[in-house]
Formats: sequence, structure tokens, C-alpha cells
Amino acid sequence: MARLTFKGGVRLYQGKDMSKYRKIKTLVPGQIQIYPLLQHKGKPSIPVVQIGDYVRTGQLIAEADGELSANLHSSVSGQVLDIGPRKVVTGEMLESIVIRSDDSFLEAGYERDKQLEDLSRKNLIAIIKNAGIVGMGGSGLPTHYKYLDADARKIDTVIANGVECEPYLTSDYRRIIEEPIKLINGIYVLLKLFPRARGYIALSEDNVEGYRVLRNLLKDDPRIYVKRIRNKYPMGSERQLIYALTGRQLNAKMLPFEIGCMVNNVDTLISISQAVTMHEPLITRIITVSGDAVAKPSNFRVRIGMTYRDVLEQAGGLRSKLSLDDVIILDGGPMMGIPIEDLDVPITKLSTAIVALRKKRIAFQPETPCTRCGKCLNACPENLAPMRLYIDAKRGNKIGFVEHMGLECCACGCCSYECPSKISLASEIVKMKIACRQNKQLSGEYARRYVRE
Amino acid sequence: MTDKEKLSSVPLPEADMASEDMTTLDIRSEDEATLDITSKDKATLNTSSEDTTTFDKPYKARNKQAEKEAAEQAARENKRAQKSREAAREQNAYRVMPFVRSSQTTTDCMFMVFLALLPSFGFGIYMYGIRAVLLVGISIATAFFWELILGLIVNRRLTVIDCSCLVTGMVGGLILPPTVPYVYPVIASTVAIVFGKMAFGGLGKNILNPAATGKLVLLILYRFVLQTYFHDEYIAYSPLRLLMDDGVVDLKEMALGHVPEMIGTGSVIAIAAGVVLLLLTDVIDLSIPLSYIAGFAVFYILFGRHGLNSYYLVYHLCGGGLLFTAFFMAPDYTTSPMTRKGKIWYGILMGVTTGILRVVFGIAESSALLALLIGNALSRLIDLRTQPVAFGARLRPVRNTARGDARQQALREEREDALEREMEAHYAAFEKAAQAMGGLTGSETAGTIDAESIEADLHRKRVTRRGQIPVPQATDAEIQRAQKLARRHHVQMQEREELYAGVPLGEVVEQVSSEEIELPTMDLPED
Repeated sequence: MARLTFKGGVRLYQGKDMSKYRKIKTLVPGQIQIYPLLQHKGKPSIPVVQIGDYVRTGQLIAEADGELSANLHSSVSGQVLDIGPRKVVTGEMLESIVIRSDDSFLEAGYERDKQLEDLSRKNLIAIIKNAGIVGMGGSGLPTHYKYLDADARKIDTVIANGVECEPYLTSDYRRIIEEPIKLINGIYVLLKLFPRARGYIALSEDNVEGYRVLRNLLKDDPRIYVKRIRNKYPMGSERQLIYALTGRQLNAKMLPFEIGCMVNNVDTLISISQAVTMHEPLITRIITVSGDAVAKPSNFRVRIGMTYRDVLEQAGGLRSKLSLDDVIILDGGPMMGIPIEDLDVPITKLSTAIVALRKKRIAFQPETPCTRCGKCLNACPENLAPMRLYIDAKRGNKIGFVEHMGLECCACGCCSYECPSKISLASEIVKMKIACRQNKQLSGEYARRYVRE
Repeated sequence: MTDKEKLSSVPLPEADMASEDMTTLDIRSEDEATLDITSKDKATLNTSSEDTTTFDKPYKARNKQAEKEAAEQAARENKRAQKSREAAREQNAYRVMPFVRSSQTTTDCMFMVFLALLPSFGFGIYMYGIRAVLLVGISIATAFFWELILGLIVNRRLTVIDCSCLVTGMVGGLILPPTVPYVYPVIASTVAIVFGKMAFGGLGKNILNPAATGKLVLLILYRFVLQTYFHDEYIAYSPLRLLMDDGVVDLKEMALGHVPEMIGTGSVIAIAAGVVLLLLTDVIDLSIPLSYIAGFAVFYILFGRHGLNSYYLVYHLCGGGLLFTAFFMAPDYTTSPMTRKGKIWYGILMGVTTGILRVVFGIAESSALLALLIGNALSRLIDLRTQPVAFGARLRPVRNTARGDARQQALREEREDALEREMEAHYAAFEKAAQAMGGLTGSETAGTIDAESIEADLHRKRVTRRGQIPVPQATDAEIQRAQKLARRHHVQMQEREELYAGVPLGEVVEQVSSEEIELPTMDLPED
């Protein structure tokens, strides 16, 4: 079987065996839940509850502000304690709703289950919007916003992204094995939205079990295909995945629907299926707790609003004789994750994993001068010249940076990984990229991706 | 995964990283400043005490002791500050984005090249004995010496630890003829390190290959000696020279290396052993050597006056240090182009230049070396001309915008309709099967509280900082809460059992589905 792939990228130590065989377990939420109003890309949502109100599980607590925003639902039943600024993972203070759980988890009355056949395109998009579903692979773009833009007649490829290329993450792997039917139902919803499309489920070549399960279910399905893809980082990136599957290229100015593709994460599709068939809003998500410093690496179904400390402590905490000073705890995988300073911050719709690594294992390697070996060039999946961009970033040459296509960088960190001189190329380039993007004249068409015209 | 730019308005942690760097730097300077202040204070204190006790000798002695103590304390504080600075630096290192890095460092690469050169060196020793050892040894020692001194002066640190000077010295020694006097390696290595490398600013900044620069200077100074292999003990000509003068040499002998050549370039087998090591450790890739060899071969076939005669071609490839240059000197990181395309062009350029030098100008041994220097000089230019085009910058036309004539379109629509009908049937079958399996009915939130998760909640392991007193495993309130939850869970389970008494879950769902579910026709989405 030919393996589908792209140019560049790196092969990493996967470390998935630690949590691969652990079933998804559910966790008991703590006493106090925090819901930041900004859990997506776009404007923060507007609270519709007041301090002192009693809310139920799945009740709407904050409404979307305009199209590029998402609804927010309570994940426990209890009383609204406070609406005010709270700390989030990135270290910022964001306006949030604080709810004290009364431990009874009374559910808000959902509508009756509906059949997919009865629902029209408008209905489906409204359901997805009301459920507050956002891109759960990390992009945070409200899902209905993606579908609104796309022309239903021109989309011919719908892709379910089940490639977890980051090391240590196994939540999608477990999801595919444990709930394949929900995933397929989610793709059917998408195919209903885009009637001329063909569905692809993209899996990593390592994911043999998931491939078997899905292939058995979709043995003679005319519209959904299961594809195995070369195990390489960053294969799960939208553009690289589209290229590997269809051979179509895409630059950072464009969105996938412009070349007839629609990419969704497995987690997003399953929550769409939940929302459409059961009218259940997005209030839980699967989180992998893994890494060489964690006592029992495993996968959990976590209610949004729990703190990172809650999840980490219920996972068995750190290994014996390890304290917080000996480890580095990341939100997300080790390649693109963010270090968590304070553990008492809430889990949002965008958290994917908690990875704890020993500081001893991350050996401190001093920077040495560049030897022009060209390994960063070979590793770059976007076919850029990272060293040139790094020099631009160091000199603060924004025009040069944009001219050298620095805004195409996808922040995957392959160049930093490969560099034998241990120069931190990726972080410098990303910093410069963010600085350039704020300047509208410089970013030009690239800004279109984030702001609707 | 996609773009993990998180929330557009939330700045990434990288954004404040630079400022943090700056702050740590500031802290350093502040630390030093505060230290200075404290020492100054002590000094002023001392002077004031001196003023009061200028005439008493024992007091002076006491003062001296106090000064000593103060100095010791200052030193101690200095040490502590340094330690904290180092810790801060390390802390910062853990904050930069990819938290896993490849284990390969520049030192590793250089040392691997050094190891890969050892077989060639070994063969040189086998052929020429102690003379080879001395020549290469002197070359390495000189290179090491100059690197040590100039590294401390120019770069202000120990640059010898990256092993690049060992490689330079080794290569510089191996491309010398075995018959030269012992001064030659000293001159070659000195030129290589001082003018070829350190004059440009050290590793990564030189334009020409240092070892080749050293050899070039020797060629200019002592051309006659280097080309005739003249020595008191024996006179010999290299096989390539012989071939050009219509002599005959066995190819087998050449492959093994039993021919008069430079110390390290004679044996093809020894070079191959080194190259295998470099390829296995991912230090070099084959693009430059192969394009070099291919470029030379094509040029020689076209213009070498021997056509496709493999004897002459192989002869030219094995002789004159071409393979040694192609595999050990040409892929040198610093002096070769960085881009994928550029590497191939660089190899072809060098191959063709070597061919021109050999065929047109009749230069035998130093042709590969001169070609290398010409290639080096042009490599930055090649880099500029062959910058990669970003992924997706050139877009292909999209298939789904193409339109056919009306009839074809009608046909296609018919086909699509048929497909949709088929899909409807499939979806109905799928939904029935899914409901029978209970796959679609499992709620994400229902059943969250089960016995296992309550256990996990109760026996949670606290995560603490170093030296922090851990909170007791479970407080009374938490135990009460867990008991309450467990009671609730028990009641729930009982209710469920009463509901589905004696009936497996699958059957219940199937009964319901067969009664209620009919297959309504699916409407096409409106737009």
C-alpha cells in the first residue's frame, strides 16, 4: 500500500504506548468550575446568566457575539458564584463565569432525538452553532463559521482528521476505537451538508486497530474511504493533510474550502454527531494525560471547566519523588504545547492534553553558531528557509520577513527540532510572525483568515 | 492539530519570551549592581571605623580581619548569584517551544566526520608507515593549537570543543603527499585555521574550505614538490599522471589503494567505509557527492575523448582524490549551499569544473581541489538563486470549477442523484445497525459519575512544589462528598436495573427502532 505523504517534516519518538491501551475514563468534576468567555477564535461570548442564578448541566450560560464566536454551556449544575476575570492557561486574566457544583448534575431538558433525514442544511448549521462546537484540534475556529463560508456545490472532499502526529497524544486513537459509529455519523452529517463530497477518514499508519475497526464498518460504503497516511510530524496539519490525500496545495492565505476541501478533527465530528442526534452541547472533551513524569498515563473524559490540577491529580499525579520543580507540564504535545505555570486554571474547549516531562530528560543544550548545514530547510514542511527568516527576525526586518514568506510558517517547530546547533529558530520566527500579523499593511491577505470581511 | 495559534487575541507565550530574556539580563546586572553597593557600603563602614581607630594597632588588625571576612562573604554572594543566574538561564531554556529536540549536535556531526576519516588514515599508515602518522599528527596538532588560541581571542570561548579543528587538521593532513617535509603540514594548518577560518569569524562563517585553502597555499608555494612525489627514498607518479602520460595501472590496485597517492585519498574501500558511517548517522546526504560524480561522468563521457569506455571513466573517478573530495570535502556544511536544489547544482558545477581542469588543462591531482574551491566561492550565489518556493505559493487550478457541456453535466447530475439515493439507503442501514449496537445513543455526559471515577477522585495524589507540605490525602468534606456521590450513583444504577429488568439493552433499542423509525425521503439541502 502506497503511503501518502508530503515533503519535509520529521520523524519523532512517539511515546504513545504509555496511554494507548488505557480506556477512556470519566472524571468527577471538582467543587468549583471556571468557564472563560473566550474559548474559541474570535470575539468573547456574552454571559446570559447572573450571579446567584441556578444553572443545570448543558444550560446555555454565554451567547455567541456575532458570527465568529461560539456559545458556551455549563457542564455541571449549581449556582453562579461570580462573573469576573480569572487566570487561563496562557497566563492572561480573562473574563469568566464561575459556577459552584451542587454535585447532583441535573440535566437541562434536551430536545427529543431527531433523525438526520428530517433536518435541512439550515437546521443542521443552527444545531451546530447552538451546541457551541469549535475546532477541537487546536484551531478554535467556530465550526459553523467554516460551513457558512463554504459553497455546498463546490466542496468535493470532506476529511476527518484522525492523525495525531504530536508525540504522547492518544485521545483521538481511543475515540476512534471506542466510538467509531459516532465518528461515521458525524461524517454523514457533513456529507449531508455537502452533498457532492466524498468522505475521507485519515489515520496514521501506526493506527492499525482504528483502521481495522473503521474498515469493517465501512466495508462497502460508496462515499466514505479510510486512508492510512505516513507517520510523520506534522502530518495532522490541515494543509499537509490535504496535500497528502488529494495532491492539492494550499497556502496560508486561503482556507481549505477554496480548493474544495473541508477538514474536521475526529473530536469535532463526534461532538457534531452528539449535537445532531442527541442535542447535547459541547461540555466534555477527551484529554490525554501522559509523559514520562506521570504516574499513570491515561485518557479521560473531562468536563470543561475543571482545573488542570484536578485532572492531573486524579490521573495519579506525578511519579514518586517528583515535585513540580522537577518537571515541566505542558498544555498540548511537546512540539507545540504551552508550558503551564499555574495548575489552577480551567480546561477549555481547546485543551488537548497534559504532558508532563522530566527536566532531566530535556537536556540543556547550549546554542552554538549556525554551520549552514541546511537541515532546517530539509525539515520545513512549508518549504521555507527558516535560517533566513530567523536572521530577519533577529534584525527586526519585518518587510524582509514578509517578502521571504515568513507568514506562511505554521509554527510546527520542525526546524528547531532538527537544528544541530540548537538554535531556537521556531520560537523566534513565530514571535516575528505574530508581530507582522498585527500590522495590517504588512499582513495583507493573510489577515483574511482571521477576520471576516 | 492545525494552526495552534490558539486564540487570536491571546498572545502566545513566545511573545513574552524575549522580554523575559531581557528581564533576566536586567536581573543579572541588577544583581551585580546590588552586590557592588553592598561591598561599597562595607568599605565605607570600614573606613569610618578606621577613622575612629587610626592610632590603635589591634583595631587595625581587627579591621583587616573584617575586610577579609567581607571579601569572603562577597565572594560567596557572587557565587550564589552566579548559580541563580545559571538556574534562570536553564529555566528559560525549558520555556522555548519544541520541548523535544533531536540529540544530534554540531559536535556530534564533526566527531562523526573525524571517525569516518579514520579508515582512510589507517590505510595511509598501512601504506606509508610512521611518516603518515607524523604528517597528519602535526597537521591536527597545529590546527588544534591555533583554534585554541584564536578561539579564545576572537570568539571569547573554547571553540575547540566542537571538534571542527580536528576535522580540518585531519583532512589537511590526509590530502598531503606522503613525501613532503614536516614543515608543510604546519604551514597548511596554520593557513587553514588562521586565514581560512578564524579570519572570517570562526565556524560557520568561512567561505572557502579551510583545509583546501591550506593546500592551495602550499600548491602556490611548492608546486613542483607536491606534484612529482619526489623524495630521497623513492620517486613515483600518481596513477592519474601515469594515465595522462599513457601509462598503465591496474584498476583493482587502485580500488584497494596500492598506488602512490595522497596519504588518505588512495583507497576507495577505506573511503566507502567512512561514507557508510556518515550515511548511517545522518551527517551527510548523498545529493552533493552523487551530483558531483554524475556531473563529472557526463562531462567526461561527452568531452573526454574516450566516449563510453568504462575503464577510463572509472580510472578518472577513482584517481586524483575525486572520491575523497566528493564525500568528505564537498558536503562540508559551511561551504556548501543550503538549499536542496542548490546542492545539486553545486555538485554538477564542481563535477564539470573538475572535468574541464582534467581534460582541457591537464591538471591531474589538484583538479578536484581547485574545482572545490571554485564551487565554494560560488556557493552563496547558488544559495541566493535557488531559494525554495513556499508550499502552496504556486497553486494548481481546482478540478471542481471545470465545466462540461450541457449533456455531460446532465449525465453527471444523474449519476450524482443515483449516488445520493444509494447513500440514503446506506445511511438508513447504518443507522439501524448503529442503534442496534447502542453506538449512537451513548450520551457524553450521562453516566459520568460511576464508582471508578469516585474512587479516583477520593484517592487523588497531590501535586506539590519542592519543600511544600502536602495537603492530607482526602479531607473530611471530600470524603463526605464522595459518599454522597456514591449513594447517588447507587440509586441511579438501581433505577436503571428496574427499567431494563431482564431485557438486554440491544433488544430494547431494536424493538423501539423497528416500531417507530420509518425512512423518510431525504431532501436536498436548500441553497
